[in-house]
Amino acid sequence: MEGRLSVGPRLVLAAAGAHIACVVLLGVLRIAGFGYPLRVAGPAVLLAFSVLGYGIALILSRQIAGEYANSAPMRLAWLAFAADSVLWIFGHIASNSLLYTFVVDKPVSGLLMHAAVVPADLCLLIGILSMWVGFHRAGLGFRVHWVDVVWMVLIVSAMAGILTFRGQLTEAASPYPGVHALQQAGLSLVALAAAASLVQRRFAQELGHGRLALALQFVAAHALGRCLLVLVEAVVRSQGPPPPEFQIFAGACRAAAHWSIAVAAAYLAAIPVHAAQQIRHLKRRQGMAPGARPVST
Amino acid sequence: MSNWLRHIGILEWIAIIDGAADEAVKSAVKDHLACCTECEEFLDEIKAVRSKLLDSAFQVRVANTPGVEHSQRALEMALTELRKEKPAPASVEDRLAAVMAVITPICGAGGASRVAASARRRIGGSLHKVVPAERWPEFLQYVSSTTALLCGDTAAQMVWVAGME
Repeated sequence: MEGRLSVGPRLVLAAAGAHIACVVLLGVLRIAGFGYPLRVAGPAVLLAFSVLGYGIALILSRQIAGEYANSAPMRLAWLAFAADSVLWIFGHIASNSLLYTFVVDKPVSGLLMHAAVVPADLCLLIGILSMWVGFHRAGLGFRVHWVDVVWMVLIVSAMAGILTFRGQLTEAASPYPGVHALQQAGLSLVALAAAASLVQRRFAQELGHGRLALALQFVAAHALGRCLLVLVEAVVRSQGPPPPEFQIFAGACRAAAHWSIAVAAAYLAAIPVHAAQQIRHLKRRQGMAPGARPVST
Repeated sequence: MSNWLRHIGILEWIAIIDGAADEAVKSAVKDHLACCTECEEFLDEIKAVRSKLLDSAFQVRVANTPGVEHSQRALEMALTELRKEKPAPASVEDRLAAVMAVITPICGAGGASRVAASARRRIGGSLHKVVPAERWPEFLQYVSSTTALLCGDTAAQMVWVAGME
């Protein structure tokens, strides 16, 4: 376990909580009229939290991939999540208001962001499908429930509806025609990843408690949260410009969804650490001299 | 809170050392020790002290046994100590319980039972019968390899070590 990043789930959850608290606080300050003095510090803090979250997810995902030497699908899944994290770091930098306030125009920022996020979403989809294959190969008899299939169809149909009426999408007015296609591709991939993640939720429920189930739940929360947020935002935007309170809520939900992949990685990365402790503990017990073995225990 | 999450209290330690603990306490302590490094280290210290006391007591008894019977008594005492201290080989049920105890916190109760059921199927055994002792290594190999597919190689190694205890 030497040379590994040791970040427990509690620490990652605490950092996610701090990020969400910052989103809410900055939103409230903006509503209260203190937005202008924080126009640099606010986005810088939020960007730092986003990069931290995906940085943790990147490092832990690579560590986890190294654990699956005998399971190619699971190794591919966590390498895909690592790639997703790298791309999202670029996506967050490109979409940060500091960039489009001081460096490039907002449409260019949108183009750069989608150029990073679409492959990131593809990696997410590949990762979730690979985990699905990995579980199938384990031969533990996990079954997809019909309720999950219904929800999958609903999610994909809802996203198809949103894409059909793409006037509500954020990049609808972009002067770059490629951005429309990128955004549509990205949202389609997110919807597919969210639908596939429902199977992971079912696997997690069948596993019961345990770190693996928690990791699966958080991966599913990452995909589902992002997809549901897009759907809700599209519905709200169709009614007119969203109120500031909704923007705070959406920002907090977005932060939570993005941190979910880091939390998932933290839960799974804790397994080898726990296992190594158990191995030391068991070997010490096995290596005891017979004379030292207690009778009563 | 589950018993295995709570550290062993001083009264429980005393009952265990005195051999006065009932089965429930013994079981709770055993479960906890399977997961807690801190209590395991404390137990090691107790064992070391106990071992020294046993050695000292043995030497005193031998030294105080005079005459022709000295060697015979020493041999009897040594045999008695060996019989008392040598652990019985773990049964398959105990080994399976040890394996399930290490898998459950990571794969969940449902995952652990599925892994065990899958391994039973793969060795051609019944889901409800005890795994035959001669097939235990094969069974353990399947459990370990399935754990590797789900949770990685270190977890699989942990399962193997727990099962071979």
